[in-house]
Amino acid sequence: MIAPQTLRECPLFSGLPYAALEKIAGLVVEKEYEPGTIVLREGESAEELFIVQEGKVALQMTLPIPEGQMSRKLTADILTRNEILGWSAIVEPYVYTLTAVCLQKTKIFSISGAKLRWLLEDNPKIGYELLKGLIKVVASRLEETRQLLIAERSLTLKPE
Amino acid sequence: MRVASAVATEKEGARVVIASEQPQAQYFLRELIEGVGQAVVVAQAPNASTALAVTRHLRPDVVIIDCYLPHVIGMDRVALSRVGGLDVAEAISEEMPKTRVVLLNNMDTVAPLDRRFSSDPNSVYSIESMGAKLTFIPSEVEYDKVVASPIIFANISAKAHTPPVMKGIKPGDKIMLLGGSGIVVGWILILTIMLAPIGLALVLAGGLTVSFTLAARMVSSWWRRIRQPKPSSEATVKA
Repeated sequence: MIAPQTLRECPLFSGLPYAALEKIAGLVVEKEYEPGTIVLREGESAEELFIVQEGKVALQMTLPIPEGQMSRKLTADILTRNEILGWSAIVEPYVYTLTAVCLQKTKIFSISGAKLRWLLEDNPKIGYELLKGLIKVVASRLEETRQLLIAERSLTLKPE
Repeated sequence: MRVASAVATEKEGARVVIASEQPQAQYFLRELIEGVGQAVVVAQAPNASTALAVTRHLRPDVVIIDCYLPHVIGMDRVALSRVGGLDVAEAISEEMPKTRVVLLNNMDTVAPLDRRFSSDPNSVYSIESMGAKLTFIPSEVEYDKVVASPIIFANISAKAHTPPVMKGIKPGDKIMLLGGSGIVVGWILILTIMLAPIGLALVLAGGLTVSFTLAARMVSSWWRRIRQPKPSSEATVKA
């Protein structure tokens, strides 16, 4: 079992009390992936939530192929230490929205989505704190995406 | 973007395209790859779009891509504008399967990119994948089972460079020093006139000592060269 304090470094769990971290630490399974391994696929049933400990993971989304486009897949982000992926495991409809590919040898904490949801339902206070953390993570990613959108638009609208 | 005007021959090594946004990183990679003398960089691209266009045009043997590559342009403080490396790596490997694609995943942490480093084979930095150093050897590429995947996920590895340990003066150098000293002392004795015969003998002895030592070194070096095994004609991209 991992040390509960380790989970506190992840923004998702940073607001939880030690007792809650202990319970969640009991659900964690440590996994290692080789470079190029797909950790989760877009469209698959979201059964696990992951926290990156070492290495890098690229999040890709699949796009239809219009004429002249470079690739069918586009990388949306590259995750590093203490960043989470697969939070769809605790949010309906429990389906992964992106594909995650390891770019380096990666160590990941994996938490069963079903067991975590059961824990959150059984302990509403923990559930509330965890969801607060999740909203912060999602809001942060939304903000980064917004910045990118604005920056790209301002480039195209720049007067010559 | 710089493009080499000459097509590299087998003698010059594998033809490599580098894709990285920062000029310092491009220079660093160019020195790293060309420093070992087995590859030549034929083009450098600052973004994914240019990398793909250049690769289509030049059909290199290897393309080395920084995973933190902007698609067309990188916006200064927007990190998400620089995550296009894997996408262009996949596009190239799908479109041009004969081109080996190396995706570098730790250019953001390799330091110092702006320093000139030695192109000595024992240099501090190397490109590694799965713990093994990548070497870029021309044509006749045989795919090792370890690198069966279309994209090689690699890192820049930094090893501490330990200077060779000085173990004292070699015997050959000692003999040369002795011979040289004999020549000098002999000449001094010759100048005294009275001890000239002794001086002459010392000069002759010293000169013979130095000459024989130099000759022995030349023979030894030639012998080592002819006994060295020739490199194999089959080439591999090792990982």
